[in-house]
Amino acid sequence: MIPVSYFFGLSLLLFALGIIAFFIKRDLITMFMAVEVMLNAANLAFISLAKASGSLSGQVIVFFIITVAAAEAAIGLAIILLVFRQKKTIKVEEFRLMKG
Amino acid sequence: MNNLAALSPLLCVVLGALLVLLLEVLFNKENKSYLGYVSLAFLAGGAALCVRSWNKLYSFFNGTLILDNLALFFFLLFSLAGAFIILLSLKYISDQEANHGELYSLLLLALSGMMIMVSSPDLLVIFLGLEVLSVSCYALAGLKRKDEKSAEAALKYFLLGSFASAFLVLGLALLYGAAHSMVISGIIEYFQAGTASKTMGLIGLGLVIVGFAFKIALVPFHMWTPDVYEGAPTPMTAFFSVAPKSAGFAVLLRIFLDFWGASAETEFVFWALWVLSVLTMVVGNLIALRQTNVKRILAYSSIAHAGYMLVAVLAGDQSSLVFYLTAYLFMNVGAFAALIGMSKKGKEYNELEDFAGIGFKYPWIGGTFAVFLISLAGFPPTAGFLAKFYVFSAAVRVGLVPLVVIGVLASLISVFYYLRIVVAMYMREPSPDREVTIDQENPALFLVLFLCLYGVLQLGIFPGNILTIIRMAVSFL
Amino acid sequence: MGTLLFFLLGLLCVGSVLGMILSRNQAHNALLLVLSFASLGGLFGLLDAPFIAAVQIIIYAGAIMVLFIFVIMMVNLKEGIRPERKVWTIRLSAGLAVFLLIELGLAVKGTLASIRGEAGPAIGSPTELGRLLFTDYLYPFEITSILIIAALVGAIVLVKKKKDER
Repeated sequence: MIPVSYFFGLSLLLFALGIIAFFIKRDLITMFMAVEVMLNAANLAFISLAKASGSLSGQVIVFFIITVAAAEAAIGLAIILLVFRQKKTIKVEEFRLMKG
Repeated sequence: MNNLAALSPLLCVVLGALLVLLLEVLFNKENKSYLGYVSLAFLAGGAALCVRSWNKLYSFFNGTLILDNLALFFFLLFSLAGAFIILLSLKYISDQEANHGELYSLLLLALSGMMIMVSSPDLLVIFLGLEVLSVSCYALAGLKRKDEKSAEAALKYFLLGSFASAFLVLGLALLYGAAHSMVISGIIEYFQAGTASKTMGLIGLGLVIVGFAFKIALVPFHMWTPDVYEGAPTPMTAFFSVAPKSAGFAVLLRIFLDFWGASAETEFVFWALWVLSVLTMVVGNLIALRQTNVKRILAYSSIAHAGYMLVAVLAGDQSSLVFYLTAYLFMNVGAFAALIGMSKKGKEYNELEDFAGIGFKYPWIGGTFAVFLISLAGFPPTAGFLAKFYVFSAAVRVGLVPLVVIGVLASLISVFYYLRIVVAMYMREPSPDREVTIDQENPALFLVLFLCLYGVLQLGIFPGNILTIIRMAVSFL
Repeated sequence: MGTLLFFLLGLLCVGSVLGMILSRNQAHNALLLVLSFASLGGLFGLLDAPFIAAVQIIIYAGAIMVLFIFVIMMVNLKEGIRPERKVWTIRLSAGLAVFLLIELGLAVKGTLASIRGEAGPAIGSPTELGRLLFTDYLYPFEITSILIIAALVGAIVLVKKKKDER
């Protein structure tokens, strides 16, 4: 039997990698992929914690988070397309992102 | 009382959104105003249903939807904000190339998301409501599709918003793992009982607070705010600056109502929020001083106001927070209404220089704008003064004197940039090379201006009635 | 056997995310992400959540990533985008991530020790999950329909082309 804490540790590692990817990557699509990695890491955390507490509710909650991720993917990719049509680029430098 | 009636206000608003979509597809007229009127009708219907449910304490879905008076009060507040924004959009969207009927539908969906947020004690439901709100807002920010700034606003809002959502989800996971519950009361119980290590729950709560701080734009999680507010269509900016903030604070109010002063962990959270509040008040006001674009000034001012509201949360005083949110709704929507008034077909005037001499050239817009700015700065006899007064005196009562001193100093700073606009309007000669002519044929806009003016003065001079209602609303908690 | 599988899937998952960080080609990134999500699905299976595992692979690795690939096709960049060269952003993000990791690790140590023990009998069979979904979680379930409408309307209004536009 694998200890649940292994899974939990893995989920935190993935979340951290997601953060790193979000800050390092310079194109919008991959940045958004990094956010998806973070959401998935949180899902893994949910399922491992549900397992640890012997309850099913954590698994149901993951359903909802997957739905949220799908909805965000739809709107997010639409926004990225909108931006691409105007600027013909998806490099972050072209957008004054995070400027005071 | 378990009753399907608990769903009725929410259902009314969602039905309105669907009907607007359907009408847009079926008729597809060039003039979208009728969709605005349909939305207004459904909002009014929802508000009427709220009034009918007052004091009844309806609930449904095993208590994951509870219509207590506080929720109903916020429903009414949101409906009013929604109605104002719809009225402001009627002419704006055809003038400024954002002529999409779906705007009204998205607006109603955003409102329904906020209603979901404020009427549930379950963090999962609150999170889903927040996502409904956020997803609609991302789209609303980008509605001026040919405008690069608008698209960029949508992009920034979306990218940082979804980044924040990921933190929120991880926070929820940790809270769930630690407290074995997603219900607010269960989480508070977990923090207050027992002596076992609560590090995990604390980090979870911290991440949840970070997620919310992004959405209600607390410093240092405010980076997206100015650009999004500047780029989004102006009525939507007014919406963003008022509505999600109220919903976010309503949730914080529920979470932190019975939270303070039980254990060392709650003490830690208290000081974390204390720091956030100070940063928000000071940094928001200081950066606003440097801005020359009125829309950006209002954006930073709305950040600073979130800091004052956080003071009320820290003081644990519900009625002053609710009063502040109500007053803020009138004065901020009013200020943005005046800003929207400064436009003509295909052109918006947002720079400070454009406002030179406006006070005499267009006395109604200039005059009401001045009143709203004075109220935002917190001078009597306006709503802004009383709101700040209630919040700060509540904070002094529980001994938060240093926080109040900082808050008062910060609002003194803010007087400078609010008055700068007023001075420009009344004391500066318009420069001859900047010809500003605005189109004043917008009765809906003037209706909003006068309603907000009425609200600001009513709340500022005779606050008795509304205070009674607010006390009724919070006494049920 | 289970432990071996865990390390295999975990390594695959972390490796493909690392690959995503290093690679410059978006199409490769998307494929790596599919791999990582698929191995996550396997991990869900190991955690007694077979149904979620299936959902993960169908919706995430299937539907959502196809959406990504479509957009990457439309955007169709010839050359990749070099990752940020500024040292301070890398240091900042690495610092942030490590800090979070340590902090969270501390959190796990405290709490998981107390709840490790035997995991309950809860196995996420479709029947059980379905029952929960339509009883205790009915309200969130209904809210997701509003969420999806909002996302659909928003996406369409942002990218649809009117007749007079090209």
